[in-house]
Amino acid sequence: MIIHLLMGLAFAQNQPDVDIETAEEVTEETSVATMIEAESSSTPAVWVPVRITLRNGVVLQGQIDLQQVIDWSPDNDDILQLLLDSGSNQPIDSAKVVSIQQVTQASVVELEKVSEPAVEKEEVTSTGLPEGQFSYANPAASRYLYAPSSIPLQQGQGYTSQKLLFTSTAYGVTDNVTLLIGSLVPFPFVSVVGAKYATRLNDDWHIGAGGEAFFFPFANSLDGGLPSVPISVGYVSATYGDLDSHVTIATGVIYEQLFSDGNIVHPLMVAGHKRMSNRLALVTENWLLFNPDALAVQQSPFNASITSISFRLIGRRDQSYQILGKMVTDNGYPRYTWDIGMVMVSGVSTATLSDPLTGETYRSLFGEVWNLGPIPWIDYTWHFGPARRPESSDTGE
Amino acid sequence: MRYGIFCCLLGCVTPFDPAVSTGTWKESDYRAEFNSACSAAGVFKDALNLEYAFGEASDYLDTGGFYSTSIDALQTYSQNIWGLCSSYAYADGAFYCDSALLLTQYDKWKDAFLVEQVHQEQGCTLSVGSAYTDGLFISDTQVRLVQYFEVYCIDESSQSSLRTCAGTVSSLWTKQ
Repeated sequence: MIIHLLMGLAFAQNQPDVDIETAEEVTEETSVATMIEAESSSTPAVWVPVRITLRNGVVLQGQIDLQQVIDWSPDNDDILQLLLDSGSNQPIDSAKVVSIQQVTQASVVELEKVSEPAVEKEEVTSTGLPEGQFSYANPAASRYLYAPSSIPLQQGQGYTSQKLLFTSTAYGVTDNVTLLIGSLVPFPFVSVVGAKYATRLNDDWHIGAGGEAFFFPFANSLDGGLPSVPISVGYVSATYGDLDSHVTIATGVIYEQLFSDGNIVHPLMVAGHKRMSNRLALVTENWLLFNPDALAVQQSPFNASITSISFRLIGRRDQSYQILGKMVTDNGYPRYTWDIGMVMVSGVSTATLSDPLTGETYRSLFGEVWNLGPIPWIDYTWHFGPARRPESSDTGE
Repeated sequence: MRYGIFCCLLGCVTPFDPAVSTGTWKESDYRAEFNSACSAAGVFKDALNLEYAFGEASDYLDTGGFYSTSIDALQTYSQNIWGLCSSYAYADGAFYCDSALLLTQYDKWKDAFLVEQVHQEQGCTLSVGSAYTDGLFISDTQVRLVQYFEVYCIDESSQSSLRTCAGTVSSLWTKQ
């Protein structure tokens, strides 16, 4: 359905270590083959528009001699000659290159005709690109509104997110392990710590597992018997799709001491992310909470649900790197995202009675359905760290 | 409508209707635990055949509650439980009472109660201390209760308790 990115993209060298991708569809391979033939049968160099991702995260765009693309390997000592938009030539050590990506429709441009750069601006709308292809990577594939996907942050990547009054920061300590901390601001009455391990199985699937613990930092200094750790969560998850369009299903255990003396709830979370254009995505995150104890008294195990829908605005991109005096905003990595949407919470309130003499807890067959919302949801997130490396190296394997 | 949605997806949820409380409820299945100076655990038996009525269902949301140190005053409520208790929250079937509902039937079980015996022998004054009941409608035919009460026999001259019984009793009410 919605998920088919990176599939059928790219041309790649035959050498096992080579990592060359294009942002075009498979049909482009034909064009490349044609270009190769053209190169071998005529003397003028064949220039192809490319985007080169460097190891430091910088992405450069320009044109490069097709023969250099063919011969390129990160292991050799060749110097790539990248013809920049400005018309100047930028030499680049092959070893500093992570990937080379073709960025335009098949274009065979003779060197003599390149007085006006043929490289397309990267601010291409979705209508200007084949469906499912975007000009730059989605920086927020690792999370939905709150819940994480199984797509990991890469090492050194992170984000700081402001959700209404809750601030959280996640950081990829490795390509597979992400740590999370967060707290209410300005008064840290509720805080959270968490960790996630996630890995890529193949082009379509990622899996993950993690835990989060919410705690009241001042529980011990307040009267009223507040628990120090009112809610703790352990989960496993699986994500189908790519960075731009993906669906995640997750489940696990929630242990809460906030509304009871200790209650186990099993969540089922289904979330989706669909990128509509370079700068817009739709995000939905939906939870069902179940209490299996209710089954013992022939009750519905349903406790509560949380549903949400949000627009995700993928905002301004890198402005921090200067290449030859030029800002690279147009081809940098997205640094800001905004989530603007609504959240609806519904639940069933069922009363219980604990018998201190027998230790039994009795649950009423009666219940009350309650609804809260829709609640406006606003989230601003700043993404830091290096740009995302191509998915083929995501696994860290 | 909203209930219907949950019925379709996840099973039915029935809100508590106070009309369920109408009728006569018989108490049984006692469990009791009292302080060591008051061997009262054997006092509460199914053979007591204690019966209660909630009275006017419309009164169940009355949050005024009732608190009294007088057992005689409490005994006027055995057939009017909603006059002594109120609902915790709308529609979930839980209720709370400002006294122990067993005390509304005190005359039916007092003969085996140690404080009463001291009262009879020494003429001290019976007084109810802390007391409450947590109740829950499990279904439309069963109510579970946990009751706690303290009963003193006060010597008027010294203003001290000659005997104190404090304990918890759990029980089941079944609709007749």
